[in-house]
Amino acid sequence: MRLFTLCGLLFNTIFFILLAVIIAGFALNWITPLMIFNTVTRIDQDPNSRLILGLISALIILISISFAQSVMGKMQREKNIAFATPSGQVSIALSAVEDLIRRLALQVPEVKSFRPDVVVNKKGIIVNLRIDLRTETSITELTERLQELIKNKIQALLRGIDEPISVRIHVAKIITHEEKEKTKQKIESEIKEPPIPFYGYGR
Amino acid sequence: MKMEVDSKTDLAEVKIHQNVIASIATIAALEIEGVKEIGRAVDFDIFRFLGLRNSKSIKVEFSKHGQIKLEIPLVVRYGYNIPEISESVQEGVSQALEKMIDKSPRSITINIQGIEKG
Repeated sequence: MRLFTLCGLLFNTIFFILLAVIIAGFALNWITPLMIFNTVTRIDQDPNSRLILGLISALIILISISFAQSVMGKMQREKNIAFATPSGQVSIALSAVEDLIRRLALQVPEVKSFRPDVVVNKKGIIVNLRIDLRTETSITELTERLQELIKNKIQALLRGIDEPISVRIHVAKIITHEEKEKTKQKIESEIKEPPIPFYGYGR
Repeated sequence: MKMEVDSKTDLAEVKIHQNVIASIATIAALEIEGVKEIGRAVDFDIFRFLGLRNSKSIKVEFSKHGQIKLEIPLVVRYGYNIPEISESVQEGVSQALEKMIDKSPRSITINIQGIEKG
């Protein structure tokens, strides 16, 4: 673990323990509202104390952000496909594979939008894909074609990695001609009848 | 934290800063076909957070024995084979460092962060 992360963890722990002690003290009446008021007044009257308090608050903000980023970075590193080469390690972010799948949407005119989610586990690379279809096509045929296309593309891109790939497709929406017509008519009517500005203000 | 690598000549010692190594690695990596750009560093850096350091960067580390470890985040072009690009980058960077500073890195880690958009 990096020193900075360790310091952040230690700082956060101490800070929250202190906060808990203060709250517990308040609950047990060891700390009275008057004591808090006196302390706050003393800090308020002394510029040095206020400066120190300001610096402490800036430090807490920075440490908290860095700690959150460090944890998020670690999570990000876990979301990848990794393999070793003689010169070192190569890791491919799953978001990169998702980018690739999104680009494939351009090759399939029947599909309006792709929402891929790639997961890697012991079973291999699993692609969960939610799609919106543009036309009423044969779904079984289309999904088969899509599965084959995505599988081939990932295999071509990650040549040398022998992880099994499975593609799960979920058709979320089919945009029919009626829906298209409705949308078109709505747009046209809006264009034909532009709203009159300040309409309805007169008597 | 050590930020430079030492190499000795007959006259004196030459110190090469990690930024120089990162620059050499950046240029060598961008010369490889299929590499679009250098990606963003994943881990937190306070200087990067405050905008005092470029967020698109190669991470350079030195071991106690002066060995170099590199971590290169990459964005690749669509249609190229990623393992092949990665190996080419590792070889290219290693050769460039050997040629320019007479030191070959102990390990070069490649992080593929994305595929060219658009």
